[in-house]
Amino acid sequence: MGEINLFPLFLSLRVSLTATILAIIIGLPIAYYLNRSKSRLSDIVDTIITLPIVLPPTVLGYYLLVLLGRNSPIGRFLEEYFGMTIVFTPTGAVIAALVVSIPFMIKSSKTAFASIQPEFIHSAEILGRTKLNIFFTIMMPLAWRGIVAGITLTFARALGDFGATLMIAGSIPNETMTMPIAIYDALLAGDRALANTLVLIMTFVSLTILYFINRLEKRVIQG
Amino acid sequence: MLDVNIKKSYNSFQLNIEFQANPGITGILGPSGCGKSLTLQSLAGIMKPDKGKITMNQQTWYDSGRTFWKPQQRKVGYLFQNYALFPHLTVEQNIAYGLKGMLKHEKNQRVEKWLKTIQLETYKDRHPSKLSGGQQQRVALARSMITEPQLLLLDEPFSALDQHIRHSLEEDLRRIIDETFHGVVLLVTHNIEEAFRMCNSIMLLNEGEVIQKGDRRDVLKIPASKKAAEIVGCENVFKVSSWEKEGLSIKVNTHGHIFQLKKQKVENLAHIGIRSDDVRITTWKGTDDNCFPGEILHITEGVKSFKHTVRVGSLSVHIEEVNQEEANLRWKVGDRCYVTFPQEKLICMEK
Repeated sequence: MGEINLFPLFLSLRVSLTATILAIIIGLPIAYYLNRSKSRLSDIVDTIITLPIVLPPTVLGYYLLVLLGRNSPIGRFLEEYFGMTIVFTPTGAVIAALVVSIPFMIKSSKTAFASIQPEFIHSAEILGRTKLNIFFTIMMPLAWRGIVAGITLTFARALGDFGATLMIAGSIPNETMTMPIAIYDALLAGDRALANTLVLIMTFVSLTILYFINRLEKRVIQG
Repeated sequence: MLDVNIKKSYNSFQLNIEFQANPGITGILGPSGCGKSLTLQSLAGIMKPDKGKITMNQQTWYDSGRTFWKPQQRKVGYLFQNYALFPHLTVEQNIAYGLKGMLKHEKNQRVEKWLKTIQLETYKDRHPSKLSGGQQQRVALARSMITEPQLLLLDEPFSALDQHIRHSLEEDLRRIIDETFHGVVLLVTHNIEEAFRMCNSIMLLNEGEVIQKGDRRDVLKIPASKKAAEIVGCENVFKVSSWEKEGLSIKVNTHGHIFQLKKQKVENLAHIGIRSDDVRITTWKGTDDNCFPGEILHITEGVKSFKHTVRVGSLSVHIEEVNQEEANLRWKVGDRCYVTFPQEKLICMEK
């Protein structure tokens, strides 16, 4: 066994971290909207958002392929105007990881927002703060535990994705081969030693990251 | 001055409130589900009425579909039942939350001043969970008052507190309000004693409507209807079968019992009532008017008084006697007795 190629590890970390950050930026406003709105539209949006948890990742990957592939309208648009391709690129991997993981972000934060007593929000409004200001000064701190739980689950799901990533980003070594795919690849090639090493590295890195995210949660001021 | 006239349907509940309130504390008294909280929420702008008008010192806060001021614009102080202090902020940060657009040192100065008023200077870095109920209440009050509101709404301010400290906290609250606020205060409560001690005037709410309003003494001592009597704790209300003015008195017939009442201005007489502690119970027949023979049906021993239920003909009368020992010695269930309804204590109710 020669040098271990750590590219898949770094790619995995980069992809899942990017996906998590995007999930926070996109997911929190959606969670806020779903928590506030009682319209039928929000019920529909809620259902659609839950879908990625239920569907097999390969199905999701297939949808993404159809939606963002080079022959799809969106794919052509992106290629023409931004010179961007999604399929078989790390960007594709990020999108796959984002889609499979964002439901966890939205679900946990929505529940956390919903558990805030309405009196807190009303007080803040009566005291003259704007909705946006209340979101950052009251809702985020009070929903912090739920949001961190969402971040944890999102990151974990993004890091571990295999199916959707394989469908849309493929398994090009040193380009789009993430850790889970590399492990599968090693196993297929009969390289048990490499597979074992990668599995151990993956486990250790995951544990470390989850530990630090958990610490983040503990930093909540005791209410 | 606050001028309110609003309607709102809420599920099957109808709110139809109309009143004016002047500077000073006005109590809103009523059973749970009478629309007290909904009224406060409409005034604060948390809830939007279906139609009507709310004016505060010449400002129109709400006018049917045309005008609706957001809570942020209204300058209202709202003391929630559970105080709603932000748990992640310190006492100081909580109080300063409503201040905006001012320099830091000016902000600090104002917060300091309020910390002093509520006597919690040494607690400013603590979180609300480390305070007692009474301290939390004062912080919540300071947080509202620091924004210099035009209208102060107090939603059952003592319901979350232990009985034994309520009394002194009432005094504290009254003192702070008297010293710092000269506008309209609305106090929601279902405690009659508290309403009497805290308020200047009182209005009674029932099923979404104001059924009586006026000076606290008038309202609490002379309820104008059967519902009002229930709310202010007047336990004996008898339906009037017929009545007539006769010389200097009014003769009232309730289920065959003839009561003599002092002559007063009444258009209509639907019920007469009397407080349970105003009814006298004796072993001998008195010479006063309105003395009837009765039989003791039931005795309940309270901490400070005895409560008797006495059958007087077809009426069931509640009598409360404060003088314990005497009452204890005197009465057993089944005893015959005489019940006197003093003329001056009987209340005429038009509804």
